[in-house]
Amino acid sequence: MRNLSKEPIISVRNVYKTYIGKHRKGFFKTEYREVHALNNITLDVERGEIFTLLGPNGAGKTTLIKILTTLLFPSKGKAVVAGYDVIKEANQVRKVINAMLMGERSTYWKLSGRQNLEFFGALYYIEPRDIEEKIEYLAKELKIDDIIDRPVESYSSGQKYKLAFAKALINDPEILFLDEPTATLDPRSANEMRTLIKKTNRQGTTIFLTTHNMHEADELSDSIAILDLGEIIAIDSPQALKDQFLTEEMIHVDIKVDKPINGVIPKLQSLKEIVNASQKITSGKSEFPIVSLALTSDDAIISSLKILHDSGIRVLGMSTKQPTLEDVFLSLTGRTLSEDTSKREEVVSHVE
Amino acid sequence: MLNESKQREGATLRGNLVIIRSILKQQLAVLRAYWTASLITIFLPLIFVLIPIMIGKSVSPNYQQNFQANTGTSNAEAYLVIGSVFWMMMSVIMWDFGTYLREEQFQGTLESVMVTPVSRYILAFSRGLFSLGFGLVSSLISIVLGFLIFSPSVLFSLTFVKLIIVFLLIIVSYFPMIGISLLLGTLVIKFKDIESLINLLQWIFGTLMGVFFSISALPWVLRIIALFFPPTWGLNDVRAVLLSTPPVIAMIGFKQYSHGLLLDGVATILLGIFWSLAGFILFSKILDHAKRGSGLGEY
Repeated sequence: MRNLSKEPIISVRNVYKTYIGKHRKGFFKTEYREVHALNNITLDVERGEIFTLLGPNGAGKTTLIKILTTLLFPSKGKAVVAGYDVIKEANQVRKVINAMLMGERSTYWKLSGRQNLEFFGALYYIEPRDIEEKIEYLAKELKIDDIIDRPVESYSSGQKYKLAFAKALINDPEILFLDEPTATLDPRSANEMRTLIKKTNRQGTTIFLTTHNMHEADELSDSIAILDLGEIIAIDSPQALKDQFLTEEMIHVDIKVDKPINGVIPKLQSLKEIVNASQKITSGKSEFPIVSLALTSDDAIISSLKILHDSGIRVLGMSTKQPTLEDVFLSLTGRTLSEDTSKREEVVSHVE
Repeated sequence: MLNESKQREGATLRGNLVIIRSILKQQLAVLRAYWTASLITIFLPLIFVLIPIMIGKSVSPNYQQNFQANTGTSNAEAYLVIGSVFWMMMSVIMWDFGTYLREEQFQGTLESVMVTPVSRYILAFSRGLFSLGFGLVSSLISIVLGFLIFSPSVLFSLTFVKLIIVFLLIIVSYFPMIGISLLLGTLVIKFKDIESLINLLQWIFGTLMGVFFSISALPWVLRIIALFFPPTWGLNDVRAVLLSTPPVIAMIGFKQYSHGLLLDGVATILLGIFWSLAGFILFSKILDHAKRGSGLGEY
């Protein structure tokens, strides 16, 4: 039975997910290994908000989104979406949600955009006449009306994402699940996608998204859960997270240098006033590396510059900055969001 | 809410019919894009027929008499054409759902479909219906070509009544194939890459159906196994209609029954119920099993 009186719109209680992998050991033996993808996840999503799961690759974000979209069963625990249990009332859940899980790969490339939307609309039991109206509306809103009758294989990556987004809106879902919605998009297309997400949310759709992009999470989210190694390590609004984990005394400095400083990082970290030192290297040839420092005292700035100078590094510029969610993640885990944690510890359960 | 579209309440009969039509349209569009793939279903059965006919002619000049003694017809060419074309049609239906699941896994669209409220069985049925239509059309072309090349006399002796009976026999054989198709779909979900298994099973099924010989030539153990396989009945009954060979019930020793075809039909329907139930139950179980593991989308 659907229970609408009780908010929130998504409720996850003590959810665990364990994958069991088989590994051949010789010819006759098989070793079974357990990977704990999710550990005791509990969270609530309020109706109408944009809720983001932020975490590095391999944190368990996709596993959780698949449980909430009824594609996977949790190993333990309970999840309720729009008042329906995701296991016992999976079909009721599917009627009120939609999802973009595989980005540009979630549509049929040999069909036109229109044929795709007609097909998926029908799978949601929408009347053919209404589907046509809806396609016209979405194509115009998402600015794909001029390509809607072309085969999807001729679309650019950004256009494929837009079509996948249109597909995800075809049934006017109460909740829209987006798994890394801008992961492989160029900055311009990613920006367009974020604008569409915000617009959809303003029109009343609750949005649950996963990302490892902290700027995206910061820009879009009403609430963020930071997921690491299958566990939620922090959950709050973006500002509250930054306020909670970053004290006012801490100073954040970006120093632009002329070359990578890999060997110098440990020296910087050895200064007691430095909470964290990391290096960002962008792929653009004309871009210089940036050294990010989190300091408890401005005295450490001089010491840091001296270490860089003594190591033959030329400083090209320096600025203080506002703390980011990346800093929150760093302070919680000691790692950056770009680190891949998908090679998770596996526990041998038994051998047959 | 964005320009609210009207979602129908639940899965009504009309709603499901619209979905079936939609899936057929989508499949037709995909077939149009990959139309060359259909050539194999038209021409391969004829190549399969050519080989045993040539061997027969080379080995024994009076192969037709031997064939008459073993099968009930001297028209070996037509017997083999019907066998080979029917085999291809049933293979297309049988592997359709498994192939569909595999294609969707590779494309990345399987989870997009599985996240919708459409019944998985409507999906399987629609896909089966498409492959039946596709199989019927390609088989019709193939069999007409086969008869024209190898045995034109059969083509000219066809009557409307015979065609209707053959059509009914194909339809009766089709439903159990959906069940078997679902069973093989479970193998795809469980083991992913099963191409070699497909090839092996295809030949096992072809042998059990008696594509190139009468099932009465099979050792008794294999003959019993063959009887549990619905296309064995369908194929041999189509031959019974077109070539006046004995129906299956007579081939296994019950020659005294005059309504052999009818009894064969009943047996096929009973097998259909068995295989369909087995397919649906196992498919449902394996879907749940996949969800307990790493899901359907993984390949």
